[in-house]
Amino acid sequence: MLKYVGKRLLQIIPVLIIVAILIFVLMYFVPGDPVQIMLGDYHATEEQIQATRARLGLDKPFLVQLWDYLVGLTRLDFGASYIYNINVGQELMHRFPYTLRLALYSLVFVVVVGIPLGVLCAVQAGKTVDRVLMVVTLVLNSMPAFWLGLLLIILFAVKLNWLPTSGIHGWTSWIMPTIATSVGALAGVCRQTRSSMLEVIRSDFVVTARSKGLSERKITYGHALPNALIPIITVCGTRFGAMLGGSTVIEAIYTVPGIGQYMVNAINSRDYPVVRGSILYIAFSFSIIMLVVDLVYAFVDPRIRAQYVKVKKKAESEEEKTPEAA
Amino acid sequence: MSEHATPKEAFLDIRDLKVEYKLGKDTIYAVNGVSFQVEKGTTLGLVGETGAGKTTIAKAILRILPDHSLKMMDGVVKFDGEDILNMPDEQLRRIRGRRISMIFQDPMTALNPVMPVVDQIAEGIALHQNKSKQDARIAAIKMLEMVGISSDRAGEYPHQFSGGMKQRVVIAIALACNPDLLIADEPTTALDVTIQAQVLELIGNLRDELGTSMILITHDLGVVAGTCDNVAVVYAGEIIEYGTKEDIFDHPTHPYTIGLFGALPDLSKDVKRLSPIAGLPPDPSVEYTGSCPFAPRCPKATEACTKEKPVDIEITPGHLVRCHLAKEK
Amino acid sequence: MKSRASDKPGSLAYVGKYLLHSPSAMVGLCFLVGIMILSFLTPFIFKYGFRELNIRAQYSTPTLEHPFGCDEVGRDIMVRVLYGAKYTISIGIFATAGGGLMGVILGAIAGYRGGLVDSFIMRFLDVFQSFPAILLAIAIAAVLGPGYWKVILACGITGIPGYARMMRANILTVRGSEYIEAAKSIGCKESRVVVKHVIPNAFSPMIVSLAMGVANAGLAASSLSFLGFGVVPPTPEWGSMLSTARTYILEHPHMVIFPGLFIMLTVLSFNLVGDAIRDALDPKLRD
Repeated sequence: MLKYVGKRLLQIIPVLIIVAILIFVLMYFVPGDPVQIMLGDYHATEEQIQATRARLGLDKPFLVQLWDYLVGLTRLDFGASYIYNINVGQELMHRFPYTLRLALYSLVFVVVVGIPLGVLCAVQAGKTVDRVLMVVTLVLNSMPAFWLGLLLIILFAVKLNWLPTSGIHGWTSWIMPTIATSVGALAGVCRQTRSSMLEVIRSDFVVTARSKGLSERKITYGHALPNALIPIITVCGTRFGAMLGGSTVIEAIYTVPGIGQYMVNAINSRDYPVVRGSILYIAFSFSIIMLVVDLVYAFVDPRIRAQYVKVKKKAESEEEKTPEAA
Repeated sequence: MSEHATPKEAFLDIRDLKVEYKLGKDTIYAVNGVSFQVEKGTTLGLVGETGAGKTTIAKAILRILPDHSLKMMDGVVKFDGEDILNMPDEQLRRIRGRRISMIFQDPMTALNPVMPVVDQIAEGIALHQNKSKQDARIAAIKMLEMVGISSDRAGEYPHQFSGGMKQRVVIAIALACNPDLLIADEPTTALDVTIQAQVLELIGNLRDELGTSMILITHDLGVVAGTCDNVAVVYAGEIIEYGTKEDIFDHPTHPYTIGLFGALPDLSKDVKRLSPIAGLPPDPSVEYTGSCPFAPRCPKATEACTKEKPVDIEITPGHLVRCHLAKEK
Repeated sequence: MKSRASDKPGSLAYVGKYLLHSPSAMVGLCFLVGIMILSFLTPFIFKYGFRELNIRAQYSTPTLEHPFGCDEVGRDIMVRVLYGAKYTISIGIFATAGGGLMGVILGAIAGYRGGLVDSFIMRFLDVFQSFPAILLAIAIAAVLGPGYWKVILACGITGIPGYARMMRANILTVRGSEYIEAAKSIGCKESRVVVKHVIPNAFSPMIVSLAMGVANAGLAASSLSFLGFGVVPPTPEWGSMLSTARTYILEHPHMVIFPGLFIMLTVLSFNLVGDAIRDALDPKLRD
């Protein structure tokens, strides 16, 4: 198992290197000159522009810039922001807790509400509760998160004046961003849970469980749900990865000072070190989440676990064919 | 078996059981008025073609038919004097697994793939015998040993076992609480021929040891001959012939039963070729109210067979045949 | 007993027939077709043009004259919303068609050729899948700059890895199945086997994800526009309208309602059609 984790971690490294190079090359060709944007409104002289270019290292040839950047990365140095001259690595560490908290709150909300609702739908399949919930989740699933975010602001901040509009001041500030981030995912997880439960609920082993005299509750949560979890985990994992990568749009709406907002602002101001650093960070955390998801699979399903562990029982399994007692 | 004629209640008493499924817009008439009794300590064999409704009869006894496609279930199923079909779920759960249990057809799918086998056995024991998890586990390991699986494999998962071993686990689950009635639904169909005999012997031995009544569903007449006391021949969701093993084997009367036995190669006689039953199995989406369901395939069918549904005729005490032609004998 | 269908399940004719008999799919289709037609006809139907300024009606809340109200320069929001339908819908369709085609080709090559080609393509796709789809779209859109076709490109590229992976998996399944062996064993030419058997059988499961993909691409496009990386004002694309409306949310919240509502209805319609196609192709899920 450990060996497998190690192997997967090593596999992430080349992916990150390619992402790093790719993003550097792409950003280099982005239309728009960062120096122009920085000095934008002032009537900067040619000398000022040249001086700024030299200070940022933008006057060097392309390959030299790329080399400097890659060498920096080996020391985990993402460079400094062009505009604020703050180290990108430090800024990311400072902003990460905001993004992480938003993602974690949303994930908890999605799991705690979405999965039981999906189970309820599957158990009540075809009945009123199921039909209503299926329509509601279909609508929620189609709702753009940023629009929902704006609607929440209108309702809870403007009309009712219950919650703060934007920024993070205390726990109430997290409510709207969490809801806006998670509603789509919640609807998706609910629908996924329903369909994978429906497949499992008709399996023979559920009939076996029923024939033992177990209660419906025990059958549903003890036998059916554990077997339906794999696709649900996939959906949760992907959604969580996306949230951790910065719920860009939501952070923009509620001005949460997280990674997503950092990156979007940086793209607009052509602040390349920030863009590169954010994207690398996001690629890294996304890959880690995907690895964790794979490990959760193994935790949930012994058949997947068996693929990771060396097949040491091979010899014993040969004996199965000749039972000891007859 | 003269009990059949007397009104005295049997241990398991099924009267006029009807089950219908819905499939798209069609109705499937799976069981159409089945009645039979099983006495304590005896074994009844249900034989017939695939799709004749045998499994549905078995599942109806435990009320474990799939809710989502079940359209109608009617009739009386009385077990030890209690009405199963109208019993509240709570009460029924105390019978399932404790007093009646079932061995399923396909051991590959009948076990929960993500639960260690010992827990799957212990679950029922803990529930019905009010044992702690620890004690139930110990009892479950004993069960495993009883069906010939060594205790050090108890914590393994179903995918680590072969088909025959899985069926042993299924048997252990069914017998874990020492049930009064065991329903075995083609327990050997999914297994290799070499394993089949072992599993049957295992079930037979355990039944004798525990004194359990049994309903054995099979289409293997050899198995019936070896294990059953009484036999019911099922065709198109009806019992078309019922009697003791001797009645059915020595005096098969219904043309279908005769055909079924004719389809069995008999080594003691010098037959040139097997005699398969001509025609296709009956269409389950048709309700045969005004004719004999076997008439289209019956070599001896008369006009009456297509115009009137036959009723049970008792040709010798306890030997019932649902055929117009049986009258003349 | 299988339900009797006149056409072979899985064939396009069967799917079409199924859609016609599915009320929810018909509602979705009618909405999409209807709003698309309206979108092109706005200049002929309505009194106001989508660019027409009307300073007196600035920030007007919904009235009979302006059912959805007016925006910051007095443009009629209803006309703008209806006119803007063509952007979201066409971006969704074009991006999915382009991304789907590329993905299917890459996946088919990877799955059928195997070996080095396969590893190369898959490792390349790994890179693209090492971050969330919407961020990939943002990054590409940032590089390309704003504009209608550039959004299509960004959303299209974003979809490629998913489709390629799925196609590759399908190809591998089909390639291993017995009817392919059978076709080969009776002496079919390889090219014929690929065109006649492998591609059609591997492609039909893709139809569902492509149908769903249109909804996702449309949603992604409006998110991009909302962030300022997509179609930019004054084009009445719904996302960019919301982006503008957001500035006035405290004083004039009505500007936020309708563009978002129409994004939702459009995405919902695509999802309804997609759901119906899935049901048509997978009778197991029906009941």
